[in-house]
Amino acid sequence: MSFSVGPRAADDSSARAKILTGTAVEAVSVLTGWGQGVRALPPHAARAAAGRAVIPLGRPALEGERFRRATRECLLGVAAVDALLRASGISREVVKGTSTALIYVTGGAYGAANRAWVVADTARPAQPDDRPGDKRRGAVAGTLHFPYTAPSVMSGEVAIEFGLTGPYGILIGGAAATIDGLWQATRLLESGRCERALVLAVETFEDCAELYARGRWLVGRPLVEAAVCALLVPGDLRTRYDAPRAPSALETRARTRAGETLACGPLIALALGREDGATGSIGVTGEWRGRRAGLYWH
Amino acid sequence: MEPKEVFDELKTILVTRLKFDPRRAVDLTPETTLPKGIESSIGLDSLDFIELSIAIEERFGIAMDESADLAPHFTSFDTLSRFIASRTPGA
Amino acid sequence: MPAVTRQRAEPVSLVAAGVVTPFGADLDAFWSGLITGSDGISMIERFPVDDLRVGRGGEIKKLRPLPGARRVGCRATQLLLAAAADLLARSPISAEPARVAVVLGTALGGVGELERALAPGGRPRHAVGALYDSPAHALARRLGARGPVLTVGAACAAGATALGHGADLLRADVVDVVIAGGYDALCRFVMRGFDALRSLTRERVRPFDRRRSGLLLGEAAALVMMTREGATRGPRLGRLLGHASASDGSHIAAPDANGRGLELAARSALEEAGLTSADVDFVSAHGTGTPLNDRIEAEVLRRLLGRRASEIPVNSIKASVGHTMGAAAALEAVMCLLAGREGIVPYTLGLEEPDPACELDHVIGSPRAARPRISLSTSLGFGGCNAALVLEAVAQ
Repeated sequence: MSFSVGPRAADDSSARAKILTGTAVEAVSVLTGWGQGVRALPPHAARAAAGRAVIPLGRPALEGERFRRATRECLLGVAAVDALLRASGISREVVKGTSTALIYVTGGAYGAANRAWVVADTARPAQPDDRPGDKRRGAVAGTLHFPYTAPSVMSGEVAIEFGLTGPYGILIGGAAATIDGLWQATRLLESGRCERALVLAVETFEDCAELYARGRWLVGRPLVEAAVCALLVPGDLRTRYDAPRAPSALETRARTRAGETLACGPLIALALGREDGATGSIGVTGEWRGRRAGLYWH
Repeated sequence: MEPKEVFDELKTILVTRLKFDPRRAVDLTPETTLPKGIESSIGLDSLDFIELSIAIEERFGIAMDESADLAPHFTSFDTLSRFIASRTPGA
Repeated sequence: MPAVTRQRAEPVSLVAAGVVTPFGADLDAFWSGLITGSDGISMIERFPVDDLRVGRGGEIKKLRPLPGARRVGCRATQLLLAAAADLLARSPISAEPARVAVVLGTALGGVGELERALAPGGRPRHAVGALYDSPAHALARRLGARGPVLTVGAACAAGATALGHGADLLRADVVDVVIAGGYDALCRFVMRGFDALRSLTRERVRPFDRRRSGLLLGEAAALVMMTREGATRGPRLGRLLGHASASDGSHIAAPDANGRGLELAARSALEEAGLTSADVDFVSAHGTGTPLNDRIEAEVLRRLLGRRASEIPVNSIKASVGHTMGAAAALEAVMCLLAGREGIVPYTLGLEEPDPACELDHVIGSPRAARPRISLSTSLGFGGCNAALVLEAVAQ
């Protein structure tokens, strides 16, 4: 089963319809626990991990008091978009505004904030030196923390930072969701709902590693934190959105080299393909919870 | 409590609850303004003010009357310190 | 206003709906509760709330036992399965499994399971169940759906975009049937959260009322079965003509002061529908009852409706069942279509003294006899999410 989503004919009932020929991948940025870019990826993640369960990405040092309350996931998202713009020489002024769509995908980047919020609910026992009026609570501040338990706030911080006021998408799931997100981006472009689309994936594992350890059968090893962003623009290539049975060669390579990066996998694969010199036709696949999806530019 | 003591406590809250850099807290004076939009303020927004109010309630054991307009008290550290000092036991 | 030109999208058919709400186990209970002005708010009993400032919400007190199901622990999944049972009783799925997609919006996902995972005795399956997309996969398994399974995490605007994504899947011929909608269950996680934000009212929810003081949360699941036009014989609920989303890009937890994202989403959704605000017969507002949100939304709607703002009925159902978060937009879409079918627009419970700053043609005090054909539904969510749906009812 495969469906070509190609050129849309001008709709006669819409006097202002533009004919768009298709889409293309303009650039991809990759930040992982291994370093910046696909060149930082080891030949074999499991060997390079040497027994470590999680390869962390750390906290980006971003300037500005505006980020004082933002979680690490937000900062990583901002860093990935920033890296994309820098590497491709696109200024912030170009992406700012209503013509840029932002699609955010994650399997579990909300995990740390959610976990901390639940844990903070446990009251600690009274201590002798507690002062009157002191509430017995965990270390997590309430009002400023709670909004950051929502996945939409991660992409919200990115939207604020880059002034993105166009369409958005927020899909939760692993690599298959990223394929859905990429497809959504091509749909937005082809139907004239945006002029460019950022597809951003962020995964963090370190702060709730023990939860992932419990769901061992669901995710691979090592868990590698990552923040990746692809820029899609109008172009000449049609896309086919598919449900393949087997992983593509790029999917396998991305997993072998990067490790388990959940939603980031297909974008890392995209970057690897481009690194190989693929200038046009490229396909990426992603699997999550028994469903594999694929998107092919041709 | 004296306003000066309150001010020191507020600086601590700024770091522990509002996530300000401790080095920033050192530069603050009672005249420093709080709300976003006022020049040279530390730029607190509505979310920060709620967190700050809750922290004040917990730390100083006073109750904030939500129906009252407390905004004038939250203009600067000085106004806020005086407001809190006037509400704490022994005032 | 948008620099891009938008193509008019093919309408998509909404065949049937199934819901579970604080009013009861199905669509009939939901509609009846709205029309009779029932109050679905109560003291929450399922988990402790004594330490919170507000312990009230739209709690679903009783769920029908699901036929042939082994015990499902996750409440969010329970709600989904209950709504699905209601939906399938009205319209079974008639498509190959690989041609059936599930697209759901949620604010919390499986967070209730996270609470269990981190409590003493937490099991691995709780950790997996805690993933945001676990309930959607559970529903897909129950339905035997083998097509795409998507979870939209756009907070309280998620239900709208779930319907929009679903429509896109159909238009592109990826699948033949989409089960789309939204859900969220009440839990300590979210009650503590909104308590910390001081967003909850200690009184009644009063959308657009000058005495409004905040929102109350609710739980629900709302599902619609969507197909391409002409694919189904027999009565339909209506059509989805347009969907759009737009980020505010201004604050993570408060709307843009000028409501620019909401206005753009509404205009874009109308454009996708091939319509303008002059075609709108009724507006289902987000209307949470918070001081700031209601005013901004009312201003946007006045700008949008222009001279017609005093003639186009507007309502909010968030006082009736509470703010059901991920379910809200889907529930409100269903309400729009029922209003058009039945010729009655439910009134805004809790609204008695409209705030002059929120001036609109509010439906107050009792349901209004009206048969809106074209409805606009608006939703907002954390992170600056704004979404709008344009729906067309089918007259009975």
